[in-house]
Amino acid sequence: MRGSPFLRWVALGLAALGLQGCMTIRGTQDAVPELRPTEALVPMTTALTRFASNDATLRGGLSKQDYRDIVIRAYSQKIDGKYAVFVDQLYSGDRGTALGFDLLQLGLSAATGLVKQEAVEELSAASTVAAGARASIDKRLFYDRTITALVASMDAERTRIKADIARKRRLPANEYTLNDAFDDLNLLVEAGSLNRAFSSITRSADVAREQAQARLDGIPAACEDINADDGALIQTFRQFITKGEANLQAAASAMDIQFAPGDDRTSVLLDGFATDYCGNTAKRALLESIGAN
Amino acid sequence: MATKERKYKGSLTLGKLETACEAEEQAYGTIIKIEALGGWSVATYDNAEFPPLQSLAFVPKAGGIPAPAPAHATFLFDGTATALGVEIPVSVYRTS
Repeated sequence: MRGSPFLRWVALGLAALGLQGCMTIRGTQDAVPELRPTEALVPMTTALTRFASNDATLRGGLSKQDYRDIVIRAYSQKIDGKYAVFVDQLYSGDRGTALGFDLLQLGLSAATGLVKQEAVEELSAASTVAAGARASIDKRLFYDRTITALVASMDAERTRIKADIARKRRLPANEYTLNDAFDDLNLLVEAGSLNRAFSSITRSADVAREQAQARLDGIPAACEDINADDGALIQTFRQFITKGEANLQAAASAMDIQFAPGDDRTSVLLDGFATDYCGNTAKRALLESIGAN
Repeated sequence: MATKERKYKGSLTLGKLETACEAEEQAYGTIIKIEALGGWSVATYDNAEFPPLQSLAFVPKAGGIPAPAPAHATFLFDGTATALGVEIPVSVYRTS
């Protein structure tokens, strides 16, 4: 752009302000209306009556199974269409709305596990955010990341339900009735819910936390305040007990260790020395008692 | 060849954690993994062989980018550690 640097920056600033007022670019292509049924959906009660009737003319001559599948298809498409609009609104939504702010709060909450610690540290001082302060944080980034996680959770649940419906459609009409199908379609509608997505993500985070805690509880803790001398003392012990059977037995006797069949005796002794003789003093005392110092 | 896990308090500094792992390598073998878990650091060792004394270097990564490797050191693996209560990514080296 020709002109002074000052004018260039003014022009760029005005352009940026102008862009803020533009509509958000949509994340999906325009819908193709011809793919959607144009007739209104058959009301559920009417569909169920026609399905249950032995008079096939009420179903346009279709078998119960074919009629069931057509109704499932029509309702699924309608549900999918409304879900797509809902998700579009979420991604295009104003970050300053009450929903955006609530999602920001949830994104900040460690309980939901929606935002990883390293992402938080990128945006603000870790201590500030951890204290719950509303410091200089990029609200848009938190909103986008939270929405992405929620939509992914809803998509996953919807995919599971639709796969279940597809599997059941192979069953004859008397094993998977239209009543059963409507129950599943209602589940599909409910799956497109932010509350359910929150609950699902929180449950997954809770399960992951419980599994991590269970694993942690099973891992032995090292002595506190291990220093460099401990390493040398452990090395001395290892060299002593690997010299011969007599040394190994002497150590086991001094440590009051009884081996079980199949034990890796050297490993058992080393583990005992590292775990039960915390501190240089205790280690040196044992080494002296077995003549290893 | 057997592996062993040990956990270290998350209140340790990275330097003290490094010293602790160096010492415990003499009991459990070469360290092969370090991970932050539930406010602790968990190290995994493999007793196939025992390394020299005091031959580890834990180097923190800033913003996911590894710091320059220490001189005369061989890169072992990347992991995470809990130091002073904070989970940090680290690169682990074997010094000669």
